[in-house]
Formats: sequence, structure tokens, C-alpha cells
Amino acid sequence: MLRFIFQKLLNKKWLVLCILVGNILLVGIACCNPMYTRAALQKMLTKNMNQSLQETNQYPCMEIITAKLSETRLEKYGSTIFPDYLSVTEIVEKLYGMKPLQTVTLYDTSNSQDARFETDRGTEGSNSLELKLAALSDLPEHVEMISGSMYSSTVDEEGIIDCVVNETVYLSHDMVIGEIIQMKSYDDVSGNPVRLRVCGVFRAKDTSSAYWVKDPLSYEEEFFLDKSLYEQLFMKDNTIAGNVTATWYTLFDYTNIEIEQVEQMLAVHGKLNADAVGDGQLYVPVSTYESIFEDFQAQSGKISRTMWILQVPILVLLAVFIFMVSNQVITIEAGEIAMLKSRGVSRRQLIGTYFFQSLFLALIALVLGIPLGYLLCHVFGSANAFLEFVGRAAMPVKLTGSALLFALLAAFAGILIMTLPVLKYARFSIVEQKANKRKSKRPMWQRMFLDFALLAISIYAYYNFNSQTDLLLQKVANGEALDPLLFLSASLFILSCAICFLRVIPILSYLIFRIGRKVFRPSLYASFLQITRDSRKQSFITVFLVLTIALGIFNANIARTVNENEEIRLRYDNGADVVLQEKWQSNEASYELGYVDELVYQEPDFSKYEQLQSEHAKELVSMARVLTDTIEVSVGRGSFPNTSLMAIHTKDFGNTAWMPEGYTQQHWFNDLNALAQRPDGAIISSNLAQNAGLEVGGTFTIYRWDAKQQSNTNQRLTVVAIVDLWPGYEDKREVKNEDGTTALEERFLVVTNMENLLRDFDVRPYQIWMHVEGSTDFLYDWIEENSVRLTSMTDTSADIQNMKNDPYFQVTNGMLTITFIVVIVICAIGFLIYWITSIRSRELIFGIYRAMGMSMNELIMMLINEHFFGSVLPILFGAGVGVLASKLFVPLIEIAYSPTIQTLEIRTFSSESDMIRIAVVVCLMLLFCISAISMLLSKIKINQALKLGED
Amino acid sequence: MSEILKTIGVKRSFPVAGGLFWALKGIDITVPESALTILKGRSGSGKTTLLNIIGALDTPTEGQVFFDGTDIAKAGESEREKLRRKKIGYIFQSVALIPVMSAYENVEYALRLANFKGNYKERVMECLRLVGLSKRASHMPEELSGGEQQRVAIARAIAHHPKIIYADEPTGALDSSTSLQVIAIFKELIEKEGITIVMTTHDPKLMDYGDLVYEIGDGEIVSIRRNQEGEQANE
Repeated sequence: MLRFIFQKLLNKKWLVLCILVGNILLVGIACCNPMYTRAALQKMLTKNMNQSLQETNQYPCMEIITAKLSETRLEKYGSTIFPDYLSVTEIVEKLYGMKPLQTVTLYDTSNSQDARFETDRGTEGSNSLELKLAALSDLPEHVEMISGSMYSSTVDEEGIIDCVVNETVYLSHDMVIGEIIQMKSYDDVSGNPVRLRVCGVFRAKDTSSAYWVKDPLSYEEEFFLDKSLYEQLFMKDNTIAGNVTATWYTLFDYTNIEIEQVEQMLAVHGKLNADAVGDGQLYVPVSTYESIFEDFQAQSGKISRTMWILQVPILVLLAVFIFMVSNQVITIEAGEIAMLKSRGVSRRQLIGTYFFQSLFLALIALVLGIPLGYLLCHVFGSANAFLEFVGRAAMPVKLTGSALLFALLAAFAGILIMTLPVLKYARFSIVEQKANKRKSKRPMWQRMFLDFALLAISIYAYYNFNSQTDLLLQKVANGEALDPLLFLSASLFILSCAICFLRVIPILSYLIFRIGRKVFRPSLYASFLQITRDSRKQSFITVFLVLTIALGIFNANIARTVNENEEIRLRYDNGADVVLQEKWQSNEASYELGYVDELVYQEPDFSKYEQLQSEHAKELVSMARVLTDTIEVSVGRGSFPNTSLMAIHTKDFGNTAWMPEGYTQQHWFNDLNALAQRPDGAIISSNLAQNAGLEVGGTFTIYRWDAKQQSNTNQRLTVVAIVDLWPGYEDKREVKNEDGTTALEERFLVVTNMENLLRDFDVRPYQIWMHVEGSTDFLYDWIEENSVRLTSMTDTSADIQNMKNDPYFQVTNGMLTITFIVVIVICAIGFLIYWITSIRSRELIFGIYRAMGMSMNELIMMLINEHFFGSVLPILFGAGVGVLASKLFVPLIEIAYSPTIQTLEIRTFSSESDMIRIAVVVCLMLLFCISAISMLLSKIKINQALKLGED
Repeated sequence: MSEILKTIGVKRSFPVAGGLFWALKGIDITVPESALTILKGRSGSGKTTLLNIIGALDTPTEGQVFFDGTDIAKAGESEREKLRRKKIGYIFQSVALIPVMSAYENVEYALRLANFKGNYKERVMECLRLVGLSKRASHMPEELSGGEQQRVAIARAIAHHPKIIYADEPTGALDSSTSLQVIAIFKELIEKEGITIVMTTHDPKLMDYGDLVYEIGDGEIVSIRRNQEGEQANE
């Protein structure tokens, strides 16, 4: 039987190869989902922890347990987890089941204790000091002594304890090595007064070491002694002297945390939390990773869901492809099957044969598909935008159990799809099959109008979603991913259009046939009859072509829209390529303390920017000073506090700031010109105009309060223009409600001339907006070389890069790109197979036409005409459906990718280059196909073709 | 009786492993007009190859084929296509109707190809009547029996008034009574339409119906037999 199967496979090697390719892709794509999701999430997790480390300067994966040992005794009040404070780190390690990178135990006297130097310092007050007695585990290994020596682990014969301090403590008290300090009211557990000897000053060997969970210089009062001595002196036999706080730090190497551990770690922390409450708060467990992990969990669900949703259409398309080709193979083998049946081969045996054949193919697909999936993950990882890849750090891709499971499921599905078509044929013997051939009813779904029903459902779904965009927005604001139903209805729309189109082709060709039958040349006549009467055979390829082309265009448009909108939004929100604010000198400190009444800023030298511009004229095209502030607008109807003020120099601003083209009715330069012509003019946002009842020409007053809400200055302005959009202006802002939820609030804007404003208002720190062409590297170099102190800097190009690195966008771009490529590939393959097998099966007919005197050219004309209806029309229709589906559904899908505040309207973008790509591929496909067919045809010798018929 | 077709020294070789296989080794035949000429022989004898050559479907390696006064062995492809459209009709052993066309349309299609001048409908129905199928004009090929399909094929072959009809084993796939029916139609056509028919067969029972019978064996003419006006066949 195996030989029989191999023989069969070899006979149809091209078709079988196509089925195999389909299966490999199916397995590859199915298993790359979990692998990629995992890798992307892993990368995100590590990145988030890294970011947290940089932002908070705190190790991001650390369990900190703090307990006040004098007040709450773990063992006494029944912590079920910690029977004894001496073994806390070991137990934490065991609970987590992971080897910690570092454990640190810190003891200190909870409060600062009064002490005095035994040697007289002379001046009043300098004799006494406050200190904390502390111990850090393994301190000697992590420090070097810069003066004196390390403490000893025993008390000397006089009862004096050795201790060490850091430079800060040493210098602040002007200490001398060997100095004795006596605690005023702190005794050890035996009741002896504590006396200390400062025996050395230490400095951390490596401050970046994980050991220094707290900055070594942040111990400003601590006097460290040996840890075991500390335990012996102050915490002996269930007795603890005074207040001792113990802090146990357990650090896990965050770069090695795998996403599978996230849940388990959170669970351990939860357990500690629960235990800690006990009978009064026994101890406080704090983890530095908790919020990172929780954010991560929310994001990860969104990403993996998005990936699935985006993947379903391509999986379905592959399944359809495999089914189509398998069906083609079995149609060719139909006679053979029927013959075997009539010779007594049972149905089970028949199906068995095909099942084993499928199994064999599926196994190969499994072996090749998994590495392909692995490869695809790396391809996704380097997806920068749609059909655009960059070299990036490799993804931490790992073959996981779930990836294997998905691969197996896909392979199994493949087997089913491949075996399915044979069921149909295995039922009939040769006689029944011949009889069957004569029946040519309309397919069931057409008789039941299922195609129209599906179309109606998808259109209904569209209207439903469209009328609920606010709901969609709300969901996105709550962190939900793309609505799967929305994506499904878009796919359904495309599919139902494709099958509805099946009704159109015969009708259309029949109409043309009716009109032209009298005048048609014989070749056209025959081909129209072929199309009209044999359309069912073509239906599958028609649907397939419409589907692939439409889906290709749809996907391309989603990707373009998502990317473009986000990029435009980023650029608009930032206002310019670079926005930076220098740190200004001021009398802020004295002002805060109340020594002066007025906060005065000292404007830094602006000429250095002009210098920079003259040096980098090519990159730094222009720049503008932009003063932003918050003011109160007062007008007849009332006052509007928290209005954003932007004071500008119109010409510079116009050259520097960025506005997307075509979003406003008239170019924003018109508004700038209006402002430039009136020194006391103001451009106001339309929401302010509406709320305040202001119109162009109306006047209002702005007030600026100082930081203490005291004095204010005011100025009267005249409205010269009302705008919806302005560089850097969002028309809403998020405000936190009392219950912690966020809500949106209108944000008002007033833009005015800076020169005029400064006649009444004093200057405050302004931003410098820059229009930069190309790389911004020179700017960073300049900042570093000149040690310019900045309070903020926004680099739009870096923001855009960040967006592209965002896993959510990466997944989307990668998935859509792969879908697009796979669609094009299987479309081309499917198309070729269909036509070649269709020509092959009609060789006899072509022979007859030739024998009847039809010329080769006429025959090719006939096929080209058939092609037009069978391929070109579906392709054109598919393109139309793709564009229509994009128009309808892309704006809705885009919502899932937009932030809550949308000042700019969402637009659908399509890239001409994508359409050209599709068109080129399609044309190549058609050309290749036509030439392949012509070659095939010219090879057909009439007499041989007719001979074929004799068999 | 005038000759419509004459071959002189027709040879045809096919490349095979290790050289050439000569399917025809110098055939000289003449085909009389308005008569039934039978090429008889076992399978592999070369009769179909000969039929293809005289039917302008294939060209001989050597030799001349005079049809209607011209040497079609030297004619170009388009000239031969024109010949096939206008002056020749074919009937094949296997059913060779165009599956997407009805009986009527199949016959009509031959007229279209030949750019027939005259009333299509009349001529089609006339031909279908000749083969006794006027009532089934609108049936699709798959709705007809094998014999009926072959008769439609005959109607199609004669529709455009060809000078000659080539039939390759026209009865090969039919039972003997249907075969006789087909031969009877041939005879009737010769009589009514003055057509010339050349057919191949390996069926010895049909030999007596031919006006002229060439027996071909191994690429050569083995015997020639002339029946007197085919009288026996008419009875």
C-alpha cells in the first residue's frame, strides 16, 4: 500500500507539491503564533523591567519583606510562612522556587537614636549626633575601606562594638577613626549601654552591583556592625532590644525572568500578602515587579488576541487552498477511484488510502512547518512597517509546548481537509459517477441564497459597529484589543461578496453572448458558451481570486492606515520634530520659602542655538521659541481656567511646527498670517469659541496666576481665527475622577504673539521647537558637548521608532505582511494549477477544435477570453471589494490602534506602492499563466490529442 | 468516377528510441469522389496515420498528397486550417462533441467555423434530419446515447458541405446494429449529398459496404478490393 501511495503522489508531483506547500504554510503560521507572541511578550517584559530600572532606579524584580521586629514577632503572632525571622530569605527563595541573583538582609534600629561622642569636640552641639545601628549581610565583600579597617565580629574586652560608616556619615560628623560613641538610651538585650568604635570608612566597590539595593551613599545615619554580632547583641533568644526593623531583599535576575513565571511569581507575592496581614500587620511584603507584571498581563492578552484575530483569515485561506488543490487531484483521480470501487475496493479502504497519503504529507509539513514558523517569528520581529523589514536584535524565540500543540492541530486539520474531497467520490461506483456527471444543478448555497444572507449579515454588522464607534472607543480605552467580531465581519463581507460574484459572471457572460452571438467569431462564440455553461467548474478559482486579492488589499490598507495615523498623530501631538526645554535659573528656592514675592527666571543665552543652527544649517532647518503656559480666559459668559496658552513668533513657528496636510479646510498659514497682522490677536480653539461664545473679532481677557495662586497679570486679546487643530494641541485631556476612573475633559487653547504677551507678562521658560531634516544625532552630541541642561526633550523620530518597536504594532505589521505575501504566493500557485489542469483536462476538446479548422491563434484568443471572465474580472472585482471593505471597515479597525484622545480625524490610507505591488504580481501571474498555457497548447499535437480520446 | 484524392509515395516516420519507426512506407492510394472508401487494417497497421495525413491533420515525411488538385503535403498550417474548415469533415471514434454545446449548436458550430453562406437553421436541421435526430436538437451531448452522439458528430461533419469526410473507426465504440445504422447513414449521405467518405475500420463485417477497400498492413498497402457500386450493402 505504501508503494501504491508513493506512486500516486509521484504521478501528480506538481499538485502534490502545492498541497505540501499549503500544509507547510498552515503548520508554520499556526505554530508561529504562540512562538511569536511569547517572544514578543518576553521582549516586552524584559524591556518593561529595564525601563522601570532606569526610571525608578530600583531593581525591577525584587521581593522586599520588611518587619518591625520589636513590635510584631513573626513566630509569636503566627505567620504560617515564616516561623522564624532568621530564615526569611531562605523561605522566600524556596517559595519562589528560583535561585535569587542576590539576597540582602538589612537590620537597623527603626528610629534614629541619640548618641554622643565620648571625646569632647569643644563646640556646643557637635558632641551629640543621631544614628541608626545597622547591619548589612555580606557587607565586607562589597566594600573597600578607604580609611581604617573593617569591623571585627566580636565585642572587645571593654564592651565596645566595632562599626563602619560611609563617607557621608564620616564627613558630616568630622569623625576620627577610632572615636568612641556612646548611645544615650539604647541598650543591648543584656541591658548594657551600647558603646561604638568607628573603626573604618567604607566605599562601595561597585555601586552598580545588584547588592546595593539602596544607594550606598543613602545610608546617612547608619553605623554598620557585623550582622551575626547584631543578631547576638540585639535579637537574642526571642528578645529584641528596642526597635529593630529588618528588611530582607530577594533579587531575581530580571533579564532571566520568563513570561511563564509571571503568574507564578504574582501568586507567590499574593500568598505573602495574605499571610502578612495575620493578626495585625506582621510584616510588609513589597515587590518591585508587581505593577510591571500586572501591566504586562493586561498588554499580553491584548497582543495575543490581536495576533489571533489577524491570523484567522490567512489560516482559512490556506485551508481553502489546500482543499481546492486536493479536490483538483481527486477530480483527476475520480475515474480511478470509481474503477477501484467497482472492482470491490471498499469505501473504507479507499478513504484509508487517501488518509494515509494525507498523513504522510502532514508529517512532512510538520517537520518543515515548525522550522518555518520559527523563521517567520524572526521575520515578524524585524517588521518595521508593512512590507518593510529592518535588522533588529533577535527575538527570544523558543519552541514551546503550545507552539507544538498548534502545529499538531494545524497538521491534523490539514489531514482532514485533504481527505475531505475523497469522501464525495468514494460514495459512487463508476456507473453512478457517470450518471452523476449529468446532473448539474445549482449549488445548494445558491439555491438557498446563502450568499446574500451572508452579505446581509456582514453589512448589518458593519452598520451596527459603525453606529457604536463610541462604544468601540470606550472598549479601547479600557485596554481591550481589536474586536474579533469586527474583523470577522470584515472577512465575512469579503467572502460573501466573492460568492455573490459567482452569480454575476454567468449572467454577465450570457448577456454579452446574447448580444454578440450573431457577430462573434467562432472562437469567442465557443468561449462564451464555455463560460456561461461551465461556470461551476470555475467557481472555486473565482472565489479564491476575489478572496485573495480583496484580502491582500484590505490587509495592506489596514497596515498603512494603522501606521500612518499613528505616525501623523505622534508628529501632530509633538508639534515639531524636536521640542526641548532648557533648565532655567530662577529664584525658585527663595520664592518657595517665601523670602521673595516674585518668581524670577533668568533666560538662558539663546544665541547658542543660533550658533548651532549656523553650524548645522542642513539638518536644523528652522527653530522657534514657543512659550506654553496655563491661563484663565475671561469673557462675558464666564471664565475658563486651565486654558492652554501658546505664545509664538509667527514666522518662526510657521517654518518649524508641523501640521498634517489636508486636515483643515484652509491652510493653517492663513491663521498664522491673521495673527501676525494683529499684535494683540489670538487664535483660539473652536471648543473655546463655542463655550465662550467667541467669534472672530471678539475680545477676551487672559489672566495668569503665579504658582501660589496669588498675583495675576492680565491682557486683552482679540480673536483673529478659530481653529480645530493646532500643532501640538489635543482638544481633550484625561482627568482622574475621584473614584479613580478617567474621564475626558475639553481642553481649550489660546495662541498669541509672544512679543505682545511679554509686554504685560514676564518671561517664563519657553520651549524650543526645531524642524530637523534627517538624523537628530547632531543634537544629542551638541547637548552633551555643551552640557546643556534640559528639563524635557521630545524627539519625534525617536517616538516614531518606539512606536514601531511596540509589540502591538510589530505584531500587526508582521502578521499583515506575512498574510499579504502568503496571499500573493498561494494566489499565484492556485491560479496556475487551476489553469494548467483545466487545459490538460480539455486537450481532447482543443484537438476537436483544431481538427475542425480552428487556428492556434483563435484557440489562444478563446482562452484569453475565458481568462478574462475567469481571472481578470474576479481580480478586478476582488480589487474593488478590497477597496470597499477598506473604506467600510478600516476606520473601525483603526480605532483599536488609536489613543483615547483623537483630535485628528481617522483617515484611511492606502499606499500606491502596495497597489502597484499587487498589480505587478497579478500581471506577472497572468502573463506567466498565459505563456504557460500557450506553450502547453502548442505542444498538443492534434492527432495525439485526438488519440487521447481513443483510450 | 473521378478521383478527389491521390497519394504518391507517402511515408511517415516517428522518432523512437534508437532511430526512426516508419509507420507508413510508401503509400499510393486514390480516393474516388462520391463513394465510400475504407482503409482496413489491424491496430498499428498505420491506417490512422494515413487518415491523419490525407485529412490534413498531419504531414507526411515524404511523398505527395493531392487533394482537389493541390498538394496538401506542402501546404502551410493556415492553408491546411482553411482546408479543414471548408472542405473537410471529421468523425472520430470517441465521442467528440463539444460538451458545452447542444446537438444543434455542435452542428451549427461547424457552419460558423466554415463561415457558411446560407440559412444556418435550415442547414442544421437538415443535417440532423439526415441522421434522424431532428427531435433531439436541443439536447446536450451528455443527454444523448453513444450512437446518438456519433450521429450528431456525423451531422456536424457534413453540415458545411465538405468535399470529403474522414471517419476514424466511426463504429469502434458502437454495437453492431448501431454500427450498421451509421454505415447506412454514410451511404445515404453519399447518395443525397454526393459526399466522399474515407473511413478506417478493423471490422471485417463492414468491408462489403465500401466501394473501395484498401487493406493496410505494416505501413504498406496489402490489398485493394473494388465492390461493384456496393450493391450488396444497399440491400
